[in-house]
Formats: sequence, C-alpha cells, structure tokens
Amino acid sequence: MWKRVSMEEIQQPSYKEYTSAVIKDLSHDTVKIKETKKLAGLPTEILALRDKAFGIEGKFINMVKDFYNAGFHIEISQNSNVEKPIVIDYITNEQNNTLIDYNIIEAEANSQVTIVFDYNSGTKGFHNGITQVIAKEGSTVNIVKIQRLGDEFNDFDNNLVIVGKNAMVNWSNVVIGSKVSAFDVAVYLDEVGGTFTSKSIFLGVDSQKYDMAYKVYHQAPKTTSSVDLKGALKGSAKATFIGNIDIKKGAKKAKAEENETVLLLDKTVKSVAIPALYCGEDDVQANHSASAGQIDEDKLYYVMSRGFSLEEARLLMVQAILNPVIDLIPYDPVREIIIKGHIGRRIIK
Amino acid sequence: MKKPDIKEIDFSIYDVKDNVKYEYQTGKGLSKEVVLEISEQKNEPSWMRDFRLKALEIYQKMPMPTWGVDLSQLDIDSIIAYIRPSAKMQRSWDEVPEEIRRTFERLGIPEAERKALAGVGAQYDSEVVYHNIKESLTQQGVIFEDMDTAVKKYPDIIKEYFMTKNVTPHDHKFAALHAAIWSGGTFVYVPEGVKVEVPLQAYFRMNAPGSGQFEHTLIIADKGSEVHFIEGCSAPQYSVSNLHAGCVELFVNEGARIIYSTIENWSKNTYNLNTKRAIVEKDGIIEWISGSFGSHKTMLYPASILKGEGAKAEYTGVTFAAKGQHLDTGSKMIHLAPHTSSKVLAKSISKDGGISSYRGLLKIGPNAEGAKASVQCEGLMLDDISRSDTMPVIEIENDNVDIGHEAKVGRISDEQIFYLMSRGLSEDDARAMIVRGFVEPIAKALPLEYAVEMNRLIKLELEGAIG
Repeated sequence: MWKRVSMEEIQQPSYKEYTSAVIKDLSHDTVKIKETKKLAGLPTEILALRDKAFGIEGKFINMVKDFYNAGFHIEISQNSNVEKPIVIDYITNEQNNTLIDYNIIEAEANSQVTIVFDYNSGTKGFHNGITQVIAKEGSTVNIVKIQRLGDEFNDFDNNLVIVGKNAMVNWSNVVIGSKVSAFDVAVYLDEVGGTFTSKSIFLGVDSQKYDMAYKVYHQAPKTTSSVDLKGALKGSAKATFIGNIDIKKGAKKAKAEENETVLLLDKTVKSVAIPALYCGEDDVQANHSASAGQIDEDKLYYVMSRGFSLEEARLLMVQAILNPVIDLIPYDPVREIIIKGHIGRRIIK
Repeated sequence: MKKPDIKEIDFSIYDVKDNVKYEYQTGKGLSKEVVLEISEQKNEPSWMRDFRLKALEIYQKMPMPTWGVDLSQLDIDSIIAYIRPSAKMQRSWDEVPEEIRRTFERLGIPEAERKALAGVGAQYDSEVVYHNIKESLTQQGVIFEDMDTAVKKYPDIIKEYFMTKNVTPHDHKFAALHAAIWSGGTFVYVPEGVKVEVPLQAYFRMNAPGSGQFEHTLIIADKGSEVHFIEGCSAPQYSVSNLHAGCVELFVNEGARIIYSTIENWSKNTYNLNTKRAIVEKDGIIEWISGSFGSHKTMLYPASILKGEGAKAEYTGVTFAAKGQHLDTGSKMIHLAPHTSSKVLAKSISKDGGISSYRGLLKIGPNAEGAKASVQCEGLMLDDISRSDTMPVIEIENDNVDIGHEAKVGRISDEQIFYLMSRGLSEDDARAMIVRGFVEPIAKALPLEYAVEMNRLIKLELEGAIG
C-alpha cells in the first residue's frame, strides 16, 4: 500500500510451534476460554464476517488463517461483568520465536470485559496475528494491546472489531518494541448507537519502523468514534499513521473525531500522516486534526532552569504526552515498571 | 427544518454555442501523424516538433491514473486534438471575427480589460484569437505574448523553460499528452523589480463539441517583481466529452511574487485534467486562488515547490460540486529549504449528489528546518446524497518544524440557524448568510472587480427573498 512501511523486506519464517502463552483469568465461570487450535471449527459468527475487509495486507491474514500456532477463543456470557482484566501474556524466547496467534473475542449482550494482550520479551523473532472482536448489544469491551517485543522482531497485528447496537469498544495500542511493527484496526459500527474509542501511543527510537492504521466505518445512525494517537520519534525512527473515517450514507447523527500528535525529537526522524475523512452523509459531525513538531523550547528552558538536564527535560515532556494513555492500562506491574521504565531508558541513553 | 434550495451555477451565458467556421482541424484521436500535423500547421521550429514527438512516446507508454476520479468514460481517441477557428490572432477586438468577439463580450472580457486589466489573452478552442497588453508595461520590459508566437519570438527562453525544469512530460500521462499536442496559452516575463499592479488575464473558451484544449501558460517573475495573473475558463454544454489538459509553469525568482487566480467554469461534459506547478526561490511568494465550479470531472492539484530559503506559498480554494460532478482538487506543498512556510485553506460545497474531494500533499524535506505549515479543510454538505472526502498526506523528514492540519465536514447546523434567527433574521436569510460566509475567504482574496465577476458566476441563489 501507498506510503506504508515496506513489507517486501520482511522474510516470512518457516512454520514452528509456539507454546509459551500464559493466560491469567480470575473470572471463574462467566468466561469460557479455549485455545483456538482446539476448536472444532471457527464459530459461525466469525465465519459470517468473511466480507469484512481488515488487516495490513491479504498475505498476512492468509498466513494466520492457515498457520496459526497460538491464540484464544474467549466468550463472555450474557449480562456478566468481568471485573478483573483477562491478561494474555504472549512471551517469546529463543525456542518460541515465531508467534502466529488467532484470537477471537465474543462478548454477549450486556457483558463487560477488559482484555490485555501483552506481546513481550525475546530478542529476535516474528509475530503475525489476527484478533477479531464481536461486541454484542449493550456490551462494553476494553482491549489493550501492548507490543514490547525485542528489538529484532518483525511484528504484524491485524484486527477486526464489530460493534453491535449500543455497544462500546475501547481500544488502546501501546507500541514500543520490535524493529518493524505494523498494526491495522478495522472497526465496523454497523448498528445504531455503537461507539468506538481509541487512545494509543507509540515511541520509536533508533531505526524502528512503525506503521499504524485505524479504519472506522460508520454504517448506522448515532454511531460515535474517536481515535487519538500520540507518539514520539527519536533517532532515525519512522512512523506512518493512516486514519480513515468513513461515514456511509444513512449514518445520521454520526460523530467522528480523530487526532494525531507527534513529537519529533531528532532531525533524522520521518513521520507520515494520512488522516482521511470520507463523508457520504450530511447530518454528521466529523473532524480530524494532526500536528507535528518539536518540544517547545520555552518549556524545555523552564524545566532545565529547575535543575534538570536536557535529556531529563525531554523525557518529562515525552512523559507528559504519553503517560495519560499508559495510565489507562489496567495492569499495574507492566504499566509502572516495564512501560514507563522502558520509555525512560529509550529517551535517556 | 426546510433545506435551502441552493441553485446551481447559472450556465446560460456560458452555454451559447457559436456557429464559427473552423479553418482546420485534425481527425479524432492521437497519433504521430496528428502531432506532426499540429506542428506543421503552426510552422514550428524543429526542436519543438521533436519535443512533441518524444512526449507522444512517453504518453503512449504511461498508464492511466488509477486513483482520483473515474476516467473510464473518457475516450481520448474520440477527442479532436487541434481545432483552429478561421481567425488570426489580433491586437484589437475590432478585428476579431464577430461571432467570436460577441462570445467574449457576453463573458465580459473586453469590458473587464478596459476597466481593470493590464493585459488580456483570449483563446478560442485551440488558438489564441486576441492578445494585447497595455503600452506602459511593454515599455517596462514586461512580455505578455501568446505561447505560439513566443516559441518563435523568444526561442532561447522557451527552449530553456518549456516543460524542462518544472512540469515535465514524465510527470504523468496527461502532462505527456499536453506536451505532445499543446496549443495556445500565454507566456509572461516580468523583469527584475517591475511590479505589475493591475492583473493580467487569460480567458479560455472551448466551443467545438468533442474537442480538447491544451493551452500552456509559462510565467517567469524575475527578482523582486510582482504579477497577478487571472485565468478564466468556460464552454457550452454538449453531450460528448470535451477534454481540458492545460499546463501552468510558474517561476518565482528571488523576492518575487506571483498571484495566480483561476475561476474554472467548464461545462459539465468537460474532463478537466490540469497540471499547475510553481518553483519558488529565496523569499519568493506564490499565491494560488482557485475556484472550481464547472466540469464533469476534475483532477487538479496546484503544486508549490519551495526551493529557496524563506519562500512562501498560499493556496485558497473553493470547490462547488453539484449533480453529476466529481471534483477532486487539492494542493501540494513541498518544502525543500529552511524557514519556508505554507498555508492551505480548502473549502468545498457538495450538493445534489456531487462529489468533492480534497487530496493534498504536505512534504517537509530534511533541509527544511524551521518550516511552518498549516492545512485547513472544510466541507459543507447540503444534502445526504452528496459526498465530501478529505485525503491529506503529511510527510515530515525533519524535527524542527511546526505542522498543523485540521479538517471538518458537516452541514449547516441547526444551532447556527437558531442563533441567527434569534437575532431577527429569517431562516432563509440565516442560511444564505452562512453559505456566503463559508465562501467568503476566496471572494476576499480576489481583486474587487474580479470578485464581482465571480459573484455573477457563482450566483448562489437561495430560495425565498434573498437578494
């Protein structure tokens, strides 16, 4: 695709087993979890989504569908409120360095759940996955995806989100790892009153390449979406952001909002933003904005006059942008020590 | 609440078909023979003929663009590439054949020339029929010449600048097409330090059905000079497709300033696939003012290449897409030098199933330290069968920049109407006021006389008692 991080340079690995996923679930009987591999077949509701376009590129989708070696099918029963987050810990190491996960989440009517995907550890490897989320009428699904894989990883993440009547999906991507990392989130607001919000961050350093896309399709009246992406780039890092808001005819009273803010920390970074807005309905409120620039010199000067070094001052400014999103992660140990620590180390070198 | 009935542009004065005799025309389609014929008819120097033939080869190799508007209905092989009215280029309106003169009079061109313009060029189908400039400007060394004459009169300059360092035939398929069969247009040279205070105008009129117009405009503003160039276009409505593939090349030298205004009102059977580009040197300024109202399908993205330190560019555009129209316009701002700045304000109105698209590029190169850029897009939709799309691309390769982009789409809100009505306006008046306010930035950017002309052109009429 145009302007995107080139996928041509990625060597696809040969098939390997992956066995080191750990799932933490304290919800007892309102949640049914099975390994996708052990399902007799894909659920009919997932098969019915065949026509919904999603994903970075067809070949990545096909690869997962044919060769997945991990992944979970999670079903949340009707009217249940799962209070503790379900955490899927995809650990990688030398033996388990090829992760191809296929995750399916079905939230039944009026249920509530939070699911954290934590892709972590390892140094070198490959990840390509699909996550499909079906949020049925009145349900609330919170998804957090943390990508903190090792610096020699190639990471691809394809997501499809179907939001039902008056349902709500809150999404968050935290992207700080891998050498090349691409994700694509396709959101279908197909029924009245559906809501999708996304608050995400990225930090790219050295020669990291990120490719991030949100595509939100408003197909029903009174649907709402809000996409907010904040990030910082340092060294010779590159980031591409594609944000499509597509309001179809008939989506009356739809509201859509999209925002991207990028802090540019070095002369050698590269940032591309394509925030497109397609509108086929007049009774809507849609806007998007994108901004990019350096840290305000006056602010840096002020902080440094209080005794901080230049690098410390820059870190504070980056934290001021990223932390409000990190604080939303419902997963204390990762949030405080690992992610914030990681960002600190990456900015101050 | 009742929706306003915002009428389409009144085409009646533009829609008069003339019964003009054509002295010469090529057959339909495009081939080496057609290109050679055009060159021979124009009695051109051999370098231009060779240039055309080379461009034709490039054209034949290049694929059609696969993005933007749907061009599948455009059959270039049925377009007449060159059609010459039986009229010689004149310096006085009295000598222009009556049929043609009447058309331009209806369009108000000779009157505008007397009142408000420093020079006028009028092109009828493939050839320029009138070209004249005020004596005082000639004395200051300003050159304002039709392109075909310029090729013969100033071969050194034209050879150096014509589609070599700005737009080239390699850029895209329609640039190559233009290079192969271009005809007519204007060449302007403004010497160092000369400020042309009154605008120059070129008016392009297509009359013959199924024909194409491929005029070439080349403006060189030397150091510290200033010029305002206005371009107007129209054609009567036919059932067969017409094609307009013009090319505008602007050179803004150190400290110079060019204002380039276009009021495009092609008939709704016209494919408008135009290429415009400005190269701006140190401290130079380019201002694009663009009103796109006509045509069946348009693809037009004026580009500003900010090459010298401190160069500036501005783009102000209004697009009005009504029934059967797909207007895909935008701007390209390419920052290549330090402390360059650019500003884009794009407004669009869609109505009766019209599609208006903003497609833009903002690129900040690695050397453009301290660049500043802002892009603002607003779409106003007047009903739910139309479309308004915004596709901006922002590419940054440097950290010392200040970039902002904003876009919004919506309709006239009930709150705004309510507020104005609470202040004593009728509903219709309130709507009219909001629509007028929406297009105001472009009306403001034009010189007064021309804004009046544009108002006549737009005639946004609202139902009810609105003056």
